[in-house]
Amino acid sequence: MVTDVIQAIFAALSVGSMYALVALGVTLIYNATNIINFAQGEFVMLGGMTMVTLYGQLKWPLYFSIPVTIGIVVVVGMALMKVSYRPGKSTSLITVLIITIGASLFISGTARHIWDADIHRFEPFSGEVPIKLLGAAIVPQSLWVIGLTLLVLSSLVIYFQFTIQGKAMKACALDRTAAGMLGIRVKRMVLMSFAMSAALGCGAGIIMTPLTMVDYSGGMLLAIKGFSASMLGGMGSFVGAVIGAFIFSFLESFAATFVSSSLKELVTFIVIINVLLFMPRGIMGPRVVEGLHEEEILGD
Amino acid sequence: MKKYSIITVLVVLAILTFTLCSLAAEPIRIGSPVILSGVGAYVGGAEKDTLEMMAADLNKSGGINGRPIEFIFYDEEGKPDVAVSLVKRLIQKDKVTAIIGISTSWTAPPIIPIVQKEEIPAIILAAATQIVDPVKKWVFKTPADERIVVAKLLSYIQSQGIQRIAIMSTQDGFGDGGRTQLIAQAPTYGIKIVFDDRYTMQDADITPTLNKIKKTDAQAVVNWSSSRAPIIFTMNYRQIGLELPIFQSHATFSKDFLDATGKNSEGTKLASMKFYGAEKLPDSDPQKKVILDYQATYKKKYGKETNQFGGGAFDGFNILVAALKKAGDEKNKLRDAIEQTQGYVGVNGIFNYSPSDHAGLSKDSIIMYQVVGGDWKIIK
Repeated sequence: MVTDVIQAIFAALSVGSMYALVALGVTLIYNATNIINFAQGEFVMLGGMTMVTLYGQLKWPLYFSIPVTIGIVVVVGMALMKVSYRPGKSTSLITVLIITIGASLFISGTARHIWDADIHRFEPFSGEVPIKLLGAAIVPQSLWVIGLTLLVLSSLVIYFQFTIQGKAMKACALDRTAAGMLGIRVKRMVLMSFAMSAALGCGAGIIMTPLTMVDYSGGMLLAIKGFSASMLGGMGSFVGAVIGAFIFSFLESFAATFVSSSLKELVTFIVIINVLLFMPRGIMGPRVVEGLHEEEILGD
Repeated sequence: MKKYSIITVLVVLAILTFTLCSLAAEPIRIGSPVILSGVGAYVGGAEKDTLEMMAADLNKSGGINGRPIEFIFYDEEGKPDVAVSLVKRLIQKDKVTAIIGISTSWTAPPIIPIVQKEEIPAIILAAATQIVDPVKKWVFKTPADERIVVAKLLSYIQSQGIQRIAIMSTQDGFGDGGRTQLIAQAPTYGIKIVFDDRYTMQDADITPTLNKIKKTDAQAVVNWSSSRAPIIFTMNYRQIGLELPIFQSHATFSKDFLDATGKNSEGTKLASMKFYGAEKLPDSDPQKKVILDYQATYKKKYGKETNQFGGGAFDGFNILVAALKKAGDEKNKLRDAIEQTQGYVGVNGIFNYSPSDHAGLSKDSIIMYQVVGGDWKIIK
């Protein structure tokens, strides 16, 4: 029984961290642009695939292949910003959403041509010998994933709360025109948010691949999980995104342990739909305020 | 006047000769809708290449009783609606004698009613059991399906003295198909299923579910899934320290699986076709030469390796041609001749069609493999 619970927690922490890394990337771009980026999962896929080639096949050392991989994906992220975000031109939110979905399909299709349709993996960084605790086991790579999530979460919170640049980025999402008037270079800020988000997704891809494998088509599904997690946690909140991701993974993991693995999706979504029914803006999202006040700030 | 009649005679003669020639050389048309675009393009590609190669050889050596064979290829795109309209077109517009084709298990079921209604013999190249179960009068298939793979696997498990197994499968067409067969056939081999749970292809960590197997009295675990799921299964299985023997499905039989799992898959056993292990087969196996010859001819002609799907087309072609040679192209006689195919040694196995079996293969077409020293070895 104790072993079961601990094993369920291990699995939930490991999977939840993966969801959280994607959710954080979605939130990051949302906080700078109000755009929901459905191509976020593609950054993860590209990171994994590039790393498979550089580290797994060409046998480049880690300290060299990781920066190169991140560099490549960041360039893709900035290119995505160029096609999806046009300050000054009136683009409705739904148009941008469709552009990111299109970009996602384009990236995964291109990846299939550059690489192939097979499943890839490379060796974990610190071996495969599981760490045991009261009969339950966790692989060292999971600890890397959990660690990276905590690191990314804390740096993002600090960046947006305490640095002038982070505040400027948030201002761009609240009101582009006003931010521009105050001397914030909106375009540069938005470009930076895409670059950061791409780097974050790429880092997630690099660190997850030994656990989850990677293939050209995995990005969209991850983006949907990440998006659902950030919706559940409250769109725009970093802490919320991580909480949402862990609620997801804990529900799945405990449903698999105590009910049945085949019913875990059902259990998970029943809970999530109910949460969103009573808290439509998510767990950490801003509370709904009567009148126009709230809409004026957050509406586009 | 005399001059005129000579011209007339010449013209009449010319027309007659032409007609006679064309009558003698009237080709037998075969429709072949296969998947040629998208992710599955390599499947239909090998099927088309194989059929073209074999048709060219046959026509060079005189065709079928002097008549050449002509294939009409279309891209069914892996889409049921496209497959349906192509099959209608082949039968009604192109007037084909028979059909060899349909590459995927999801495009096959929707075309069956059309073939049955129009009464055209069809040899399907997709594996799904339901294509021929229950038997449809005009529909045959050549690929091995999970029915005989599961039969072979269970009889092996029984021979190892194992009586209680745990099964895991994914919630998709492939996983469900295997699970259904395992549950249906286990009692025949005196095996009891003591644990049965399902997961999905997207799951990144299934340790909580696998952990539950520890509490059962299972003596072995059978996992039925494809793509990345068997890799995750294997890694998680080792992670939580389960030590029961692992049996996988034939979808796991690949080099990718070995590369991805490394030492963790050592000892894994599975039942699969002979195609990719042909060079390791004993010489006494009648299929060995057929498979190796086919693989070599294909490679010589196209400069690349063929695959199992091309092998299905190879068998379909040979069965159809033998029937055409025997019975001609009258559809009822042709269908009967296909159904009477006995002892044809093909790439996928030894085919024995009968009125109650349009799949034609038995579990003797399947062999057991085990991962030994990081490679697949054939075991008894």
